[in-house]
Amino acid sequence: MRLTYPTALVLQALLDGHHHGFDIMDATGLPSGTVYPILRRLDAEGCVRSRWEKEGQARKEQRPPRRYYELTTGGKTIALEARERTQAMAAAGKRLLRPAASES
Amino acid sequence: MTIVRLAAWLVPARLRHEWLLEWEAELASRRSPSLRSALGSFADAFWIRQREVADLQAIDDLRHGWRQLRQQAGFAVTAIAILSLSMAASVVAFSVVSQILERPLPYPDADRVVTVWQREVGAPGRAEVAPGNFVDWRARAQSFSQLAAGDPWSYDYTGTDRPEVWRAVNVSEGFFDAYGVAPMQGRFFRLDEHKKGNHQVVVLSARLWRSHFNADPAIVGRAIPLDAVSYVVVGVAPDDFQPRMLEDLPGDVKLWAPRFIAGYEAQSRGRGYWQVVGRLQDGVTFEAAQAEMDAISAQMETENPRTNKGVRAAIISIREHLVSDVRPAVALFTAAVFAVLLIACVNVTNLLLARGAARQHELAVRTALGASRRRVVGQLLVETLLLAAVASAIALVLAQASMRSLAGWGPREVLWIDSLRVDGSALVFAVILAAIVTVVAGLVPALRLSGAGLQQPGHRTMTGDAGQRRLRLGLVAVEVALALILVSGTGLLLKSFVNLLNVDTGFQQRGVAVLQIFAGDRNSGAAALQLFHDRVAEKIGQIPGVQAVGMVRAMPFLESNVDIRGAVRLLDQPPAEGADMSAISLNVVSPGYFQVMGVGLLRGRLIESRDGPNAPKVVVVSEAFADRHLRGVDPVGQRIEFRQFGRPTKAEIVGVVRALRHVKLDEAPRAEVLLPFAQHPVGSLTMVARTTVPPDTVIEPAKLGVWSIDPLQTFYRTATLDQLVERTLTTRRFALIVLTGFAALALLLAAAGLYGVLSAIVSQYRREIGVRMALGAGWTDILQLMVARGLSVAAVGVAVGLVAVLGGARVLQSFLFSVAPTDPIAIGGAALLMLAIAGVACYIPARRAASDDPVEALRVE
Repeated sequence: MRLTYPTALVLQALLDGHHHGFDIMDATGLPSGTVYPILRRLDAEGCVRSRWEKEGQARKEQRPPRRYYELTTGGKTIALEARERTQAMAAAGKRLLRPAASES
Repeated sequence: MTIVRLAAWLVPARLRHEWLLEWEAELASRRSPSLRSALGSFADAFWIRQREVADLQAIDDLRHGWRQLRQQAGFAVTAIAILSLSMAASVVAFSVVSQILERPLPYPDADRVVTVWQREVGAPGRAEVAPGNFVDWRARAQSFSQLAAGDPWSYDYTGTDRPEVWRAVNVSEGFFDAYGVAPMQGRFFRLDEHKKGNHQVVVLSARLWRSHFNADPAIVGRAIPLDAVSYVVVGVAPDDFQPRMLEDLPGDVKLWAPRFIAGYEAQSRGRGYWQVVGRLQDGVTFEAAQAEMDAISAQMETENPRTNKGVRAAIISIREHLVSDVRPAVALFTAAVFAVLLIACVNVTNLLLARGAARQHELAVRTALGASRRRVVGQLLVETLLLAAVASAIALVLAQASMRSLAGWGPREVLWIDSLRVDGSALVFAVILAAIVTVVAGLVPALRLSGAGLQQPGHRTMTGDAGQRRLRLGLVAVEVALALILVSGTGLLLKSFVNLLNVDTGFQQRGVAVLQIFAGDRNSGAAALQLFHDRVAEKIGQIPGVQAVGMVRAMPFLESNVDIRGAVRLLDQPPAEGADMSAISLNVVSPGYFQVMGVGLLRGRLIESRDGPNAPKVVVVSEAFADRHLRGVDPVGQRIEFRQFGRPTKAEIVGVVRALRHVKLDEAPRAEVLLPFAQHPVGSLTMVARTTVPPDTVIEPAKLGVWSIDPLQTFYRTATLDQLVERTLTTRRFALIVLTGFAALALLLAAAGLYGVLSAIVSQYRREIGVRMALGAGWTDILQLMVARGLSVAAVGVAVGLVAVLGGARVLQSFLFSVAPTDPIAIGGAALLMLAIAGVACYIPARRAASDDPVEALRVE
């Protein structure tokens, strides 16, 4: 599966417990026009599944019920992998930067 | 939400409902979702569509179109710029119509709310209603569930250390019910509060409640000091309740108080000063109500022949009352927008045709490879659609920006102009507009380019086919004609405006500060008024930068004048034939007034300080008075009689002053009699001061000076004379600027069209030019030939345009001032300008052709 940087961010947000489209936007800082197509693609590839929120909860908060996205087992594996990869990259980045930092 | 609903159309029907629910729920979860997050729904919808629907062909066309446009960025940028400018203007015009003319009014069943006015039989227009007539209407009419009157009023609020005047309306029973609104806080008036003694209660406007009382709900039941008496606040009106009845006064109505009808008022049928609003009974039509009022008016006419002869009641719907004045301007604006849009479409058509000529090879290959004609047309239309779509997105941004700026410099008389914005319906309009533009601009080129002649890919038409050339030249002629119409209209407006600015007002407008003071309430009696006036004049005179101080009762160009008219009789002459002297303006001035205003003296002398209370009574008359009523006689020394405060007064005319304009520049100067303040002290003092410093800077010191004499005195209106005159010009200036902008755009587009087509023709004619030059034609011959060809097209356009202008210029009549709608200078000038610009547009490509090396030109083929 193609794992772009925004896709990795969305997976990360799902892993951190953000479940609604707009909450994922807030968590990732990505615009809605990016987040939604990513969610749809993840859905089509079986990485996430979506459900509708319970009526009761929504009514209690006086709003329409929202769609709820969560990672499947497979999705979780990919998300964790992605996290490791980004962390590794970050670590590599730091290593690369260190000599430069000490020179100055 | 509107955006999401629009985007939902892209989602396949099977998934649409659930998709919409998801997006709506997400948007609803935010207090104020950003426009950007809503627009993301388009990306989402597109994505789903692309995956779910096999309409790959359209997507393919889009991709291909996009590539085409990117390859020819110059063409795309030009076309988009042309379209977006004209589409932005269209969006603004649409918003003005939908948000001003068709704005939903904040009253339940607003189409049943009407205003009722007096008018003379056979005369158009609307006049305020005399109390006696209102009382009879209300007692007799069955068509209304409510009929109520409002009496424009003002109260002095002394609850701060800077006393203010608050505009108010004293209302009869049922005023708020006629509008059908409910109070935001507290209540409206009870019936028993419309009786003398119980009437000291008020309802505040929501804005006043916020600005002065901190939006405190506990204000209900509290007393506030108004006119040095205490009034109890019983309620606050809803936020958007601001029925504009007296449109010509600046500012909001700040409060409402109950009106009780005094005994004499029920019989007062002379001049009206009330404004009447009603709500039609359910089931009663507008026409039925008008018919009933006509019958009642006829009854009243027989009962009161002296006052009600020819007086009718005119029912005008509240919407019509509010917006009818701006209709002609909106119509003009819309017509101009339409013309520019049409020119832009024609221009883009031309661009597409020109580009098509270069693409014939590609299209022929496609056809040869089996593309059906429908497919080719579709593809070409999709390309145009892409242009139009990008242009409409840019147009929305431009429209939003220009509507923001309209709030700043647009005419203030236009209601709600400051609330214009791109709303949901404007978005829908922009989408539809893009579709229309696509068809108008794109269909002809698409059909032509895909048509016959494409069948042989090898066949290259170096000279272009003659039919297409004729089409393009015809289109340019249309552009020129449309542009000429706009330019002529602008010329006429410009000439009117210049005429207006050159009108002699009779006074010198610059450097005058104006303070309107109603001193009668706090200073009763001639002696007290004279004393107050003298002290105020002295205080203002001491302000640094003030050269001279004067007073006048009815100040020119002030909206809120106490303007008394009365009958004047000539004592030494028979009245001039056909001249009506029953309503001559009787103004009161101090000697300083003439000096401050720079009013020119024509004969005799001005009012001077020696014209005191015990001196012989004198008056000065205006030039218009002398011309109309004392024709052929020396006015100086004539004696006249008039009534002042109900007492007949005789006085001698000692001087004649220049024409004085009073209300508008385009209104004839009025016949006016000017009485000395010292002989007739009045309470309505408009103090005027001539300054050597900017006049607005002395207003604050002047107020402080007056407060040092009487800390409770209020100022009804303060301004500079420039501002007062300027106010009457804003609508015209606005119309002029808008039309000039459109005309310039039209001129530019037409010139660009001419230039573009001529350039193309020149390049197609290079061979012919080469031959001619090889045969000995000089470059001037070539130049002449090409310019003549271009100009002849322009001339056809100008001729067609002139016919249209002369036929249709009457539409502009109401915007013109001392210019005939067929003014030869304005229209001829426009035609010449058009031809000159066309000449330049032709000269450049012709020059290029003529300077070509003939050998190069021949080698082209």
